[in-house]
Amino acid sequence: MGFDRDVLSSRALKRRSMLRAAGAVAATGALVSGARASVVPEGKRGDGVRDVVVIGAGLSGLTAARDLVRAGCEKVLVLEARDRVGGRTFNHDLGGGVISEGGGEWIGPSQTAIADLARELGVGTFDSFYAGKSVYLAGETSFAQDNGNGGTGTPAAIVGKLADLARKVTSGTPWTAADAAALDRISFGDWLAQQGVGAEDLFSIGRSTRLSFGVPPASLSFLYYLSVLNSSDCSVEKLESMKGGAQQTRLVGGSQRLSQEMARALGERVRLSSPVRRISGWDRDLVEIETDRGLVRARQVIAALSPSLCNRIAFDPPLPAGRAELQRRWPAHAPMRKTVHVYPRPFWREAGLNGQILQVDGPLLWCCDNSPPDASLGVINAFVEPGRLPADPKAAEAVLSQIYAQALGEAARHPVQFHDLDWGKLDDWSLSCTSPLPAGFLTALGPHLSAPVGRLLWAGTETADIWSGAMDGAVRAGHRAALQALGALAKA
Amino acid sequence: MNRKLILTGGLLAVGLVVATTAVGPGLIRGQRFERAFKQELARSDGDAPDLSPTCVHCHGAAGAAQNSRYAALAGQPAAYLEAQLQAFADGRRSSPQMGPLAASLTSAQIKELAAYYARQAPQPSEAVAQDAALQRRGEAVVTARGCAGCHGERLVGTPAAPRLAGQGEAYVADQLAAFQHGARKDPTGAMNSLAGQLSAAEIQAAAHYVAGLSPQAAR
Repeated sequence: MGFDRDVLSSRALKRRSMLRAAGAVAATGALVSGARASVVPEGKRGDGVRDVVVIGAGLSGLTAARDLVRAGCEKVLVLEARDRVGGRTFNHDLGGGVISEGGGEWIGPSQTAIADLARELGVGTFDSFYAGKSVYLAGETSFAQDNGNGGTGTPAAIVGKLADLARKVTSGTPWTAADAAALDRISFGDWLAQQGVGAEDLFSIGRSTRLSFGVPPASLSFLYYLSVLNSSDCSVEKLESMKGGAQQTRLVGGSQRLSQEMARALGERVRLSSPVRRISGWDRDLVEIETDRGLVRARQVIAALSPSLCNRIAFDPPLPAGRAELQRRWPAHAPMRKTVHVYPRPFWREAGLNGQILQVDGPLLWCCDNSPPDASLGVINAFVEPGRLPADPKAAEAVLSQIYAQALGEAARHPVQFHDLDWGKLDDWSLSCTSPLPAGFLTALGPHLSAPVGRLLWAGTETADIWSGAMDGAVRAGHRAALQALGALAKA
Repeated sequence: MNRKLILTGGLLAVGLVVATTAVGPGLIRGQRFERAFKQELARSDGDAPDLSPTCVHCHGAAGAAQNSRYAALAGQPAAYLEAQLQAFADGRRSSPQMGPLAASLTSAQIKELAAYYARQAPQPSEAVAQDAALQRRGEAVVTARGCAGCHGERLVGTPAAPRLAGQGEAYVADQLAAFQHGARKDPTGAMNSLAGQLSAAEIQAAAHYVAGLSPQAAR
């Protein structure tokens, strides 16, 4: 599993960034390097049994480990497959201390778990930039419009109906809703068709789900869509907007910093480049975890991974049928591809534009102004369709520069940096960014999502009660798994 | 990436809003845009299966991938596409992305998708960098190994084997490597034994050569 093959296919990144990405972690420093030397199967040494092994050094796993240590549970080890922490968060280093996020980046109202974590770690926040007009492109034509809050084109009647339905679907356990079976039998697309929504509104809603879930409405269970809406105060606007919505706020220094700060504090309790291949004896008192860098034993295991990644680990004895089926069928076909154009300054702001572009028919799904808080550089972050934009970074950069020039002006033709991150081709350690659950999935398999199995506990944003799929959900799931582990250890 | 982590933002409030709020040159621009927007919507493929927009993300519009790392589906033989979706669904072909997706489809949906992509006109994938020497080496490999025997003259595909001509260079190289290492298994074993005999350089050359061929059958 050559995870560093073709890491970030970006010109600026190719040489430098591998070093920098490593360097970002190396800032956490000596800590990890000490751990790297240890390949001795420590279980054999007798003293190496951990109270808890956490698999995955993303937001969820590191939150769990941090909670455990703070609760006095010292013998904790975090195993991470990559040579960096942060999971689906990643900071592109633009130089001079400026970053642009290649993965998850926004937080919003009611996402209090991640906001609290940032505060505790001393990571500041600032507002996303959205003031001015967005530009819409169709063929050779363009149109600029100030939409106020980056709100959706979802028709008001449907927004109200969706809110009413979402109130009855609890986000953490949607399969317990009174009419769960009926809502899970159809797709969001089926429901929209029943409402007689017109072609233009369907386009807007479809673009919105492509961005939020990676798929069109026809591929999303209606029950699942409602459960996500339930996290967002049952409001489509709050789910999709910047102002007052889930994209309102960014983290100073980038979202990956949260993981880097937690890893720094955990020190040698975080072990990088250690993919877990097999977990044995999860039904006994001591669980054996086989990694590429030796065997580890633990009393409790927290798998802070998506079910798709869990599915790549061998379990002995095999997992119970329901959990195994959940992992096997968990959808992973929504890897996003995010690019970065860097300019000397955010020149579009002077023309009253907010840097947001939506292309009706082309590789660009949507882009926005992702400049640093002091606007010392101009940054455009784009979500693109991987299949419609060349893999070659020079070609990809040129295609997008042309689109940006059409929307923002000629200055857009000359970015000073370009970065490209296609999560679908990056490596084997994320697989997908979101989980577009199809019709029928949650009512059949949902109850297996976070139910402990023997000594195995499940974390990762997918298992969150609230804001599942978001960074906030990852933090919440980490807190919950740490409590579960402490409870299990106390009973043992 | 992650949902909210991602954003969504301004979705169109086109339509009447545009026409009524814009004035002067803005109105004209708005009307032009609205016309073009409606044309784009009307152009969308009437006979596309409901689920095909899901495939677009990686495989391009109407299966014409413009990214060499993703499989181009347009014009591939229906029997081949159907067999691959079935293989993904039951785990005979391994892919964390395609496996669960294919498993969520009914046999009827698989047949419908396969037939839809088979009738799309094949398009060349992402442009291949000019390298005449590499191309010659690739042609020699393809000729020596008799690829046309199964993949058809000019490698445009047959009911038994997919079109290679104009397929993505990186995708072809990835698949040859997967056959070589056994990560992908050809039911007949032919591709595994053939790829097993190729060097990394030969794989690179063969992928380069086939990616540069015209995907259209000779008239």
